[in-house]
Amino acid sequence: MEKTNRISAGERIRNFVKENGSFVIFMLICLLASCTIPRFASIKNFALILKQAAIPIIGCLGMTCVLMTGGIDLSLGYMIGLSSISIGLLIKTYEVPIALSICLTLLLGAAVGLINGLCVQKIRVPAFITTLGTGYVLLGVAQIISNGASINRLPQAFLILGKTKVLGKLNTTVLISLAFCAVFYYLLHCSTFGRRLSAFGLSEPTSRLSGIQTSRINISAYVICAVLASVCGMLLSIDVNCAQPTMGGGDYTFTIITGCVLGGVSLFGGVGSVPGVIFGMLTLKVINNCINLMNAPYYLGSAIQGIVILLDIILENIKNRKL
Amino acid sequence: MNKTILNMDHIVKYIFDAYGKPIKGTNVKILNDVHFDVREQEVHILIGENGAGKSTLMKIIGGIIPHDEGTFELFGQQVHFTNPRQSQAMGIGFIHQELDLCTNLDVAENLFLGREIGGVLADKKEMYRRAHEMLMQLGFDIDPHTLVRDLSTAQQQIVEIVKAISYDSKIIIMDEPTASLTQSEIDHLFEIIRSLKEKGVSTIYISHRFEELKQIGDRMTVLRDGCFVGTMDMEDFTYDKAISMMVGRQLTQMYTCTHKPQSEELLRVENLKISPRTEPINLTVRKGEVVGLGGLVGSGRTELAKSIFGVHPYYGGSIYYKGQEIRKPEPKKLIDAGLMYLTEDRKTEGLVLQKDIAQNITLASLGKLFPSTWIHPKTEESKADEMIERLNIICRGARQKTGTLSGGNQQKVVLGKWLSTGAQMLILDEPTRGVDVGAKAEIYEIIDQLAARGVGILMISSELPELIGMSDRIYVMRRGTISYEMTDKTEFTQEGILAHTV
Repeated sequence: MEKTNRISAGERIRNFVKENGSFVIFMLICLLASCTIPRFASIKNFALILKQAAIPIIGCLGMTCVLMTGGIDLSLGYMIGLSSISIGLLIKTYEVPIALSICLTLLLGAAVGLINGLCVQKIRVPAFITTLGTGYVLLGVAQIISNGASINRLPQAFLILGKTKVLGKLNTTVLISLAFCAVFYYLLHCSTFGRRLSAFGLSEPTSRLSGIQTSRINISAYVICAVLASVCGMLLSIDVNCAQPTMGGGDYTFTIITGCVLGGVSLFGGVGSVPGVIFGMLTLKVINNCINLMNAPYYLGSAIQGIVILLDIILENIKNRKL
Repeated sequence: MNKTILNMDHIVKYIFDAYGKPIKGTNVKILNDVHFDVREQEVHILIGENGAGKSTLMKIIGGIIPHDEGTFELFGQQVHFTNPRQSQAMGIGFIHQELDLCTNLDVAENLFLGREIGGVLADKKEMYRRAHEMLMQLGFDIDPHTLVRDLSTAQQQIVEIVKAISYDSKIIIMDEPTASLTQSEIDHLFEIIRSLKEKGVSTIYISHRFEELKQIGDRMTVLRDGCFVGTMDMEDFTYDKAISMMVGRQLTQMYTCTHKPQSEELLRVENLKISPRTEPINLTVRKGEVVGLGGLVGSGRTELAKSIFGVHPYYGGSIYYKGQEIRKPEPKKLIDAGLMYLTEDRKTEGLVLQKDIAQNITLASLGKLFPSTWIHPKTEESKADEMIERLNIICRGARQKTGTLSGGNQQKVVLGKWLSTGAQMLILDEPTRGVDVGAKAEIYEIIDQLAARGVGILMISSELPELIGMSDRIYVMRRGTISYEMTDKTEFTQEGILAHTV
């Protein structure tokens, strides 16, 4: 009797690890860092990590939607740059009201997402190629409309949207990010949209024959992703008080994909979780934080990101083969 | 009597994972004390319901998985295979149900895969010459330069068979080889099996199709639930006896017919052309009527069904449903109106295998069930439980992944998806393909019940007894169009239908 209980407890732990892998990894890394790095375990440090992770987590949410369709959005980082410079131009140079500027920037994101989605869905260009192409177009457009220059010292009324301090060491950016997480938790885990998205990613023919409007689902994933990228662009501009056409970029896209992958999002489509990507991105930021605290070379972070993606693909392949 | 060349006794196999390793903590036996023997120069038929352990037994013989207990003698030698190459070297050829050819390579490259003549710098000319020779020897005129993906399923099967024979096999295992073949190809296959027999090659033949067994078999072994039921000579074979051995009970009535067609017309197709060059098609289905659609694989039955459902283009013609013309058919519109299509390929088009039963059953009715877009897991489960009960789906619960179900139960899940969506007109494409006898009878009963409640049913099927047993009317298709319509039940005969298919 006792024995069976013990087995079921072990089984339960194994299931917990299986389902909350990114949380477990996060806790393990935090534990390890707390023991070995003296300045790591402090409220101040954790507040810093949260603030650093807040904006990329929003990007991760969008990327998760696209990855769940089985596609990928490599233009995300460049969309951040374009939205950053657009909001800067609108607010500072053309003095458009802030609310309207934000709406216009979001619309710009939606338009770019629509183009990506239409190319992938209607013209059937592989997502990888489409978004790589549009990404460079966006970079070019951002450079041209800004003449390559950044716009400094944004208006205070705009900055307070993301920089107002709350809960002591945190700011409104973290709250905005949390709000997005809550909305996407509902969308992906509780709503019919999430179910259809996941079914589409796992089996397109089945979804189509089940009456799911697959093209609508697929295109909306790209739109969501690009809109969230423009949110990231605006929040990042607030964070550094500067609108730059080169903000974001390919590196940023890569960081976000790594965060998703660490959070258990499948690169083969269909599988993704919001708590997963939150802890995935936090883990990534904790690793970067440790590298900083240990005064290790900065680019170690890139190497670790690369290793994470490779390991994930290997592990996922093994898992798929086992199923 | 010829001597026994393969003899298996007291074979036990515990449940295993994808690598053939036993799963820890369980001692479920999927093969329990099985006896199986093959004599020289015989065609030995192996039957049993899905999940009876046929494939597992064959995998042991083919060296894909090892057996756990018991003795396995091959040509008088004790063997315990751990990989397929060992069994291949001993003269066993395995033709899988799911073909495993490289579709992007041509026929010759597939035939010589892994043993190219001349090694790395392959002697292409010699390979093509030999491949051509091998094919011609067996009477198949397939150009060895053709890419395998351009071949029909039947032709691919033939390439598999040629490949197996070319390994100098003494025993060839064929797992449901006729599932996708046409009648003339089946006849040809049987000729090959007979000529192989004369050359001293034995065949182990797995099939669900009773009508062909007597033609080809010498002896037959029946498995049920992993246990050995018996081996008998084909001379003693009767349909009822075989069925009762398989299911352990006498199947008095396979087909039920309680429904009566109503007069109201549900679906009308007028002058529809499924490709630019075929003759137009006209057909009607009334309320509460089961209409059979016969014909060979490739005669355009699936294309017709998919055209009606809006997932295949058609060239002129019109579709009326409930008296209204459907101008641009698309699945969502039709499903909302109650017309649904059950695919012939449930694994790729019918189910999301990684998702559970409940999620699959509600997939097509998400919008209707949860108008607020918020999915309530409890509602979903109760919907699924309702279908599990109604269709007698055998599973561990509504949250079991559909990929782990047997063929018959998977088919019931797909059916459950459409029933819970409120089907009024169902197009069933091979509803019992790859489904065992017990589940087949259950599916027939469900179809009959649906028709009795006024659902119109268009049933595509390659199995003639099924068409004859279930239908009120039968259309026969040939070369992309309907060649004949049978309205009188007394007119339904296998010969009659076949005469209009070729």
